[in-house]
Amino acid sequence: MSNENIVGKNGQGEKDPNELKIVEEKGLGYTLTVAREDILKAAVGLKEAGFDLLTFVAGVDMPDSIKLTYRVYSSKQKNQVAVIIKTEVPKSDPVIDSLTPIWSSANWHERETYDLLGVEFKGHPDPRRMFMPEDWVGYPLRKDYKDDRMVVFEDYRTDRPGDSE
Amino acid sequence: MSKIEETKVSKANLAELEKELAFDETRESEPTLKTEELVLNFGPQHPSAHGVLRAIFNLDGEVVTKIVPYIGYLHRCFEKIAEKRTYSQFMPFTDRMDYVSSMHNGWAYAMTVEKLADIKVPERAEYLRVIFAEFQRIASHLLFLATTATEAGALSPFFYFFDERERILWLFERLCGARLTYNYVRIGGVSADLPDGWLEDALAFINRLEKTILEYDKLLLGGYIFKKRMKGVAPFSAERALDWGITGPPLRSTGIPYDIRRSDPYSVYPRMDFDVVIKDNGDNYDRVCIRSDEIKQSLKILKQAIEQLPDGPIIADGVAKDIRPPAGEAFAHVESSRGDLGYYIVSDGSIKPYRVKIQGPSFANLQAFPAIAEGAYLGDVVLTLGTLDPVFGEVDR
Amino acid sequence: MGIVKEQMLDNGIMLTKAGDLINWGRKNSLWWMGFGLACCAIDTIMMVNSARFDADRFGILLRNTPRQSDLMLVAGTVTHKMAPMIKQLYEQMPDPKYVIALGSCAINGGPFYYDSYNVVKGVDKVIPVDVYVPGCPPRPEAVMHGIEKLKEKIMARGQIELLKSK
Repeated sequence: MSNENIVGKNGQGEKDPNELKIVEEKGLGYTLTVAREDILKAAVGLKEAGFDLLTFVAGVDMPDSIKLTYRVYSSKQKNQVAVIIKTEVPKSDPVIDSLTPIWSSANWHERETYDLLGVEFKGHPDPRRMFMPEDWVGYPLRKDYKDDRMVVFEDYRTDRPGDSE
Repeated sequence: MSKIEETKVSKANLAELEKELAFDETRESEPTLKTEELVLNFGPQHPSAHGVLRAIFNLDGEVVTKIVPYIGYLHRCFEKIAEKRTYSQFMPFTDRMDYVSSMHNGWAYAMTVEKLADIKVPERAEYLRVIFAEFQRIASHLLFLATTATEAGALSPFFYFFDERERILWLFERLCGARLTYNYVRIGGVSADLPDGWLEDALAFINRLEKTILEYDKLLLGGYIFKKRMKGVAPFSAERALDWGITGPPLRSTGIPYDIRRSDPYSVYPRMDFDVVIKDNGDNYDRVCIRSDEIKQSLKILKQAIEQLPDGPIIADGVAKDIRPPAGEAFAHVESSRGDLGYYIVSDGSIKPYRVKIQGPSFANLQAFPAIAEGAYLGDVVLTLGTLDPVFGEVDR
Repeated sequence: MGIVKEQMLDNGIMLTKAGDLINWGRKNSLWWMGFGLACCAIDTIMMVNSARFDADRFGILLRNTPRQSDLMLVAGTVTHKMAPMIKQLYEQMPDPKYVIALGSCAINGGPFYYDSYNVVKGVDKVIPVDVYVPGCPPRPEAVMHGIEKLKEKIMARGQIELLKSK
């Protein structure tokens, strides 16, 4: 199964190959790394190629950016493959286009990412918090999130390596 | 001969009954009658909410026109906690995620870490995991059938299904000492080997359930009232189901054969002979029936797995207590009782994961709840929620 | 029935304290409202209802509304978002009311969630608790034992209440 099988024959291959290139990554399978401006274009291309099921949106808090990972699956392709889309938004301006027009299931996944990591999704129909109350301050999954409730025993905390960061 | 006649008679009776019960237009209320929309709060503590879902229903008469769900009442911050525990320390948390099928959670997590750290699991451990997982699937589906029957108003199936489930819990208890949160899967294998006589008892139970499940089918799924209540209610097409990200039995009930055991095979499932059950209509009745059929397929897998079970070690050699996988990312998923359950782990090379993202099928399935249930009657909405079978430990994480 | 046998006179007349008699009735008809929040709800609340454990034989009957129940079984993790609802439902229950905290999470926030930002460290931070049943999750037998302990407590509480009213 080569890269052309997944999107190449369905119109994506005609575009600049540097822009949308699916590579096989260890541990993840097929991945497609795009710039944040191109996320909508990549998503439309994948949807046209038959990738009709978005199973999750994950955000990873890196030191100066937030990495976003989407996993899409194709029920139409014979070999039933999944592709992971990766992109990055800078922490100073964490805004990205919402994928809700393409996959309705992006709705809650994006709300969750907004709630826990503070990434704003442009064009999201319902940009509210998902898990936390509306008046919650901060984004818990960021590495620099501080909360008094997260510590029970103060001495225990200093014993743990990595928590002092 | 007499049987055929009997069914004919009863069918004629039912047709008459239906005619009698048919909607009488002449008795419709006057058009001048003033109606207004009613807003109803449901949950977060409700006996049939399957946990802690809160939803606002907009009602037009008896028809639900709009549903706005609110979740997060059981948000226990697993993903944040995972960043503060070592890889093996996070193992018990996975049991508490989808607590009705704990085993699958542990397995998915262990698979991801094994992928990340390149650990090869011994064959016997793989078989034990399959046996345990299929028993877990049966237990979970039995619980589903019990609660759905209760919600539909049939109270006696609850006792039958829980009786069968209890027998599975006895097997689990002998194996790992716990009834609900097993912590049986370890990174690189499983925690305990089978005790003496376990396989015989398991086979006896499988043989018993093979017969009794057919009786339960008659009792619950074959019942006229149950069919009338469920058939054609809240149907969902395959396109919309995919668009809303539904996985697992609700997706398969619309005709899409998306089962990770087949579409992305893992462990020793390629060696097993079983069918991916699909249905066509995607209505409430199909969503219930598919669970019963999957129990039969799981029994088939269990028989094969017990037959093929090899000897050997149950945990990989040289798995350190504090695993230090190389920096990188991994994603692995299993077919849990509710759907596509996956873990996405980012490692930075230390003893703690940098980020753990849990792809819970209940979260995706519950998301489609408004789309599925809007337009149904209020009494059916609760049933529709039940057929999606969300577990809130996994929705809220 | 213990008090009946002990205190019954030969002619069929029974002498007892009013408080004891009322509490004897109270303890034998505990109508409970299940507050299933998380894992514990499956193995405790549902299991004690099932045929094997069958809590009904002790007069413990499931009511789905707080207004008709006098025992609340809190099973599962209490989060900050959920805590106000628990208090509200507790206040809707008529007096006298009893609470059993089932499982580690309801007792003190659970064995694992000590550094979680959203978990309340025990339901007794929100409502008063009568009996604690430990376990993660507790076995159904432990729940039955907890209910027996509550019955003992109800009998004892009656005597104290009576003393106060004097």
